[in-house]
Order: sequence, then structure tokens, then C-alpha cells
Amino acid sequence: MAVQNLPSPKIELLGVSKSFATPQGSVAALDETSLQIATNEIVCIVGPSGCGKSTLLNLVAGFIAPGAGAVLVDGATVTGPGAERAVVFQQDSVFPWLTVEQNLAYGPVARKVPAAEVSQIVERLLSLVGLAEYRDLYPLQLSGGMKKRVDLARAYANKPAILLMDEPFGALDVLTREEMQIELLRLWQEEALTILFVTHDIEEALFIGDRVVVLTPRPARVAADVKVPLERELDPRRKTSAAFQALRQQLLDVLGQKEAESAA
Amino acid sequence: MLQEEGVRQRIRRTRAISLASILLVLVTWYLVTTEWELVSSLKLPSPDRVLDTLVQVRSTILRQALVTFYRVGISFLAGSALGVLVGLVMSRFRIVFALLEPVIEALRPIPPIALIPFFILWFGIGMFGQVLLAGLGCFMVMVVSTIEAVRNVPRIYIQAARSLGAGQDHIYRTVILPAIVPELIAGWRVALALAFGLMIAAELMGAQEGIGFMIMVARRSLNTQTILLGIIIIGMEAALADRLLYLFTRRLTRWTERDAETQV
Repeated sequence: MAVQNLPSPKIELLGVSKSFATPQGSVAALDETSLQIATNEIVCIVGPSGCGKSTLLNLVAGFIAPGAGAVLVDGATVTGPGAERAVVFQQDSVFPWLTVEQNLAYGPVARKVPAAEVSQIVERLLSLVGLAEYRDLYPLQLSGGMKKRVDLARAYANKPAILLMDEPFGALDVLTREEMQIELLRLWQEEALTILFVTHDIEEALFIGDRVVVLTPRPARVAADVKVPLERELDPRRKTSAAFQALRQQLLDVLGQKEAESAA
Repeated sequence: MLQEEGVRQRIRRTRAISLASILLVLVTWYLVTTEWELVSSLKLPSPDRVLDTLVQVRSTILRQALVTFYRVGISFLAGSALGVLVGLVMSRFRIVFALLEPVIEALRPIPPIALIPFFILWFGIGMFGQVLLAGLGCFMVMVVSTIEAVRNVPRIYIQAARSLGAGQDHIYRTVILPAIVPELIAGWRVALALAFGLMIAAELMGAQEGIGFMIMVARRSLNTQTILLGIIIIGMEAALADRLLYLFTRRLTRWTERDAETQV
């Protein structure tokens, strides 16, 4: 509802196409995809693997440029990566040569934030994500879940307006994964920002998202754009409710249908 | 605790094996030269004759050993520091790479030993030419090692740093430089051994001091026990230098899995 009142979306993709050159010729990842994301909205992108979800995210991150169309943030064209758009990858990207504390401080230090302010930010995040007692450890000494916490906190340390997450919890085990989903929502409730969250897990998308966007197989177009009408509670048991499961089945059907269409 | 005990035991056992291996060589040497007299003492002097020589010339030999060690140290430190620096600058700036790469690639296959006659002609038989020669060898090894190591830095770290707001120069200082250190260790060890080899070669062909010079003088009078003593001292010096390098690099790579077993 709030969406209609906003003058302009936070993130906007206008007829974006992108193809990649491969030894087998050019492969289209995105085909005139359009999408609007409102300020402080959490939008989850699901789709079959290799459909171009990550391409979409990398375009918003500014790691790649669109072949056609435009990617806008706050109405301005994205020209490269920027600190106001933090990225959390699936792969472990926490710097292994820095301690937990140094990792959290990386962004603010790179942006030349005064030292006093940096340590204030770091202290706050350390306690917020429960890493205070591990501050002097190297990532090597942490579990996968703790590393992801560092990754998330490091992204938050820059006070970004947008958080781009590319299957961030894909490599974690089920329990840790659920913990991290709750951690993310908890942080978001503490400090709201716009989140674009790519996943292949429909349950994860429904649990986290305000909206779930289903993409077609390559080249990706928007197959469905569903508002999640459920109450957002930080309780994983919510996933087993009838309403949740019905919605999940509905989206699975869209996904399956689209895959069958493209196979035919 | 139990695990720690096991690790310690394993370390003790490997040390014992290494010690036994050295002892085996010494015993064989003794048996072949003294006990069984399979070779003449001119062709392979016995351990006790080498030991006698050491006692006779201990003060001069210590001085010669120090001279060689000092020169190798300077060559290695200056040559490899410059090599890493040039490698980094070449990786950072395309123009510098285009400028220097052909020259370095053309010079690299030439064994520096072949340059000794020219170096003597240009710089005389003083220390400068010898340090320059050994330093050149280290430089070549480290330029190539550094360029390759930079290429191997996982892109994900660079992308993470960029999206955290770091500029190119900041990324080189805070991501590339620490990330390449573990990969440079192999290069440093190769360069250090090469520096010893080149230094001895330079001293053999024209010098006024050093272990190589001592060997050359002994050669004129067929004083093989002094030659053998010189060879043993070079070996011990190289092993000592390698050990010092190891202790230094261990401090730099505490964040890696390299020494995970001994850290437990």
C-alpha cells in the first residue's frame, strides 16, 4: 500500500537485457526485465538455477553494465559499485587476513570515517550480532554461520541504503540457515533498508520477503510478482502454517509451469 | 588436550626422523672415507680432516661466512622487495605492464651467471657487482611470482572491497597485498636459495672475500678439505636463512591454514 504513495521507487529496472559471450555463442541472461522496489522493502527473487537471478543482482550492484535498458537507484543510473549498495555473496567473502573486528571496520575505514566513529559502529554491530567475544579471532577460527554473521555485519557497518544478497545462506546447513534468516530480519527491524534477496529456496523467499518475484528460465523475465500477505514473525514455525504452505505451492506451480514451457 | 599431546608427539617423531637422516649421511661419509677407505682422501676428505681444517682456520672462516651471509641477505632483501614492488605496480597499471613485461620476459631466461664476466668488467670484483647479480636473480623470481599471485587473488574479495566503498589503491594495500603473501612464500624460498647460488658463483669467479673466494683459493692448491668445508658451511648458512625466512613468514600468515597442525 505504501508503494503507491512513494514518488519514485528505490530501485528500478527498466527493460533491462543482458547477454554474455560464451564459447557456444551469445547467451541471453535477462530479456527486457522490468522491476520496481520500494524503499525499505524486502524483495526476494526466485527462479530456476542459472536463470539470471545473479545477473540481475550484479547489475544493481554495478559489477556489470546492462546491454539494453536502465538500472536506476533513487532515479539515477548505476555506473559502478558503491558503498550505499552493500553486497553479501553466497561464497565466503569475509577477508581471512583480518580479524572479526577489522572486517567490520573495513568499509568505514575505506570511506575514511573518523576513527572514533568507526569504533562506535563496530562496537554496536559486534554486540548486535553477538560476536563481541570473537572480535579478535580470524575467520579461519569461526564456523560457517559465524562467518556469515561477520559478512552481514560488515555490510551493515557502512549504513547502506540497499542490501543486495546473492543466495547468501545457500552454503549453510538448514538450522544455521534458519538462524541467519531470523538474524537478517532482526537487523532489518532494528535498522530498515531496502533488500534485494536472490535465492532458489521458495520457503526462504516467503519467510523473508515482502514480495516474491519469480523469474522464468533463461532469458529471465518476471513470471510472477507476489505480495506476501503474511504477518512477519521471527518464528520459523510459521513456515509450516497452512497459509504459508498454500502460497509456497502456488509459487512452485508457477515455477514448474514456466520450466515446462521452456522445455517444450 | 589429548589432541595437543598427539600433535606434539607427531612433531617429536618427525624431528627425530630428520635428525636420523642427517646422521645417516654423516655415518656413510665416515664409513666410505675412513672406515672402509673406498675413496682417496684427496677426492673426498674424511670428516675428521674437515673438522681439523675447521679448527685450524676457524677465525678466518667465520669472517668469510659472515661476509657471504651478509651479502646474500642484502641481495635477497633488496632484490625481492623491489621485485614485489615492481610486480604490484605492473599488475596495477596496464601501461607499466605493457612497458616492462617484454623486457623482463626477454631477460628472464638468461642465467644471471652468464652475466658475471660483464659484471666484473663493469663493477670490478668488489661487493657491489656481486650483490647486484644475486639481487637481480631474486628480483626476476619475485616479479613473476607477484604478478601470478595477484592474478590468483579470488575476485570475490575485490568485489566485496569495491562494494564496501574501497578505491583501487586502497584495495591494493588492504586486499591484494595481504592476499598474495601466502603465495609469495614459495617465490621467496626459491629466490633465497638462488641468491646463495649466485653469490657463491660470483665469489668463485672474482672476489676478494667470502666462502666462494675461500673455495677458489683452496682449489689452486688442491686443498679439498677446505673446499668441502666451504660447501658444508654454505649449506648450513642457506638452511639457517631459510629457517629465518620461515619464522618471518609464519608471522605474516597466522590467518591461513598453513600451520594449522602446530597451532591447534
